[in-house]
Amino acid sequence: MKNFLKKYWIIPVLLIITLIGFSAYMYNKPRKNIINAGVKYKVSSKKLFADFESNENQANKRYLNQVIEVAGNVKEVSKNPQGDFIVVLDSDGGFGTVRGTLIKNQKIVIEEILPGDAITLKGICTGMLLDIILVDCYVMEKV
Amino acid sequence: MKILKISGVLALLIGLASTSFAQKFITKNGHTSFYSEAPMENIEAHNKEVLSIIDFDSHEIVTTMLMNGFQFKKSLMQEHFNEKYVESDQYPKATFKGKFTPNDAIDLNKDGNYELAVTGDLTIHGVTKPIETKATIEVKNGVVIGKTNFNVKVKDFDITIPKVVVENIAETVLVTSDFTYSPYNN
Repeated sequence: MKNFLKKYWIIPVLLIITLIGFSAYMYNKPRKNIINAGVKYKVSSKKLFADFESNENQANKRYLNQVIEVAGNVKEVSKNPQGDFIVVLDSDGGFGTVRGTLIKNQKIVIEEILPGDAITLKGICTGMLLDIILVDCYVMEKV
Repeated sequence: MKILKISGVLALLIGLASTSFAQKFITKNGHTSFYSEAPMENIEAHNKEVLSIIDFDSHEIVTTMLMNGFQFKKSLMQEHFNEKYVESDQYPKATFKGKFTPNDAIDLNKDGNYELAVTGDLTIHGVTKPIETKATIEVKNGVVIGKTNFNVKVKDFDITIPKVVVENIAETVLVTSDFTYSPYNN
């Protein structure tokens, strides 16, 4: 065994370095890049709102923290006090809508999105307040 | 009556509807962050989708936010926060419901600054505790900007920190909120 380690000492050293490197990578890994993230569900804004409205607990189990694509008609585009764009999709929910806070890096010019436009938002669902909330959103397409 | 089904949050907000709309202001993009200094690493997260309604007639305020909406720089930290500490799947929302006393009569029709004494119940991780804090209100060009900060002791809300990391995570976190309210017209 001693002879083996003397000859192949580099193997455990490399293993330890790899382990430390992997741990450091995992620890410092930034949040999910939404542009490349895999999509769990594709749903319309009306269906998403209806799912939460009919059974919030069940909808939480399905959508919470998942990357989803939501297609719908734009109700409003605004900015929050921090300067991020907010896109609100209609849901037929009366009071409630689907609200997405956009990431800065977008391929579509957000200022050109108008109420009534049909778009698809890709984002992470964080749940329901008055509206269904999506964060880290990316505008996939504008029809 | 369809809207009444939307959620308990809405029912809570409708509870404030006994007064005239002119005195009520809302934000759906309130910003709440928390920060704690710890020996190993400082912890900071931001939530920019906080819902809050303030009623200047009854001096009531209701605020609610999604725990999953707190965003950290590091993915692993966010995962641990949601899965191990606040158990967001089981307790998805944090809520504050309380009353405020201004230092002077608030005039919403002209610009001005006010200080408020705020008392109420804060619910995090399914545990409700009374809190008292100070806040400021700025009336400017028809909008109302509210700001506050207060300390929260993690163990008061039955949030258990594993023994392995207990020395690296602060027991108290500083919660800071700033809300830009607009008139509530619905």
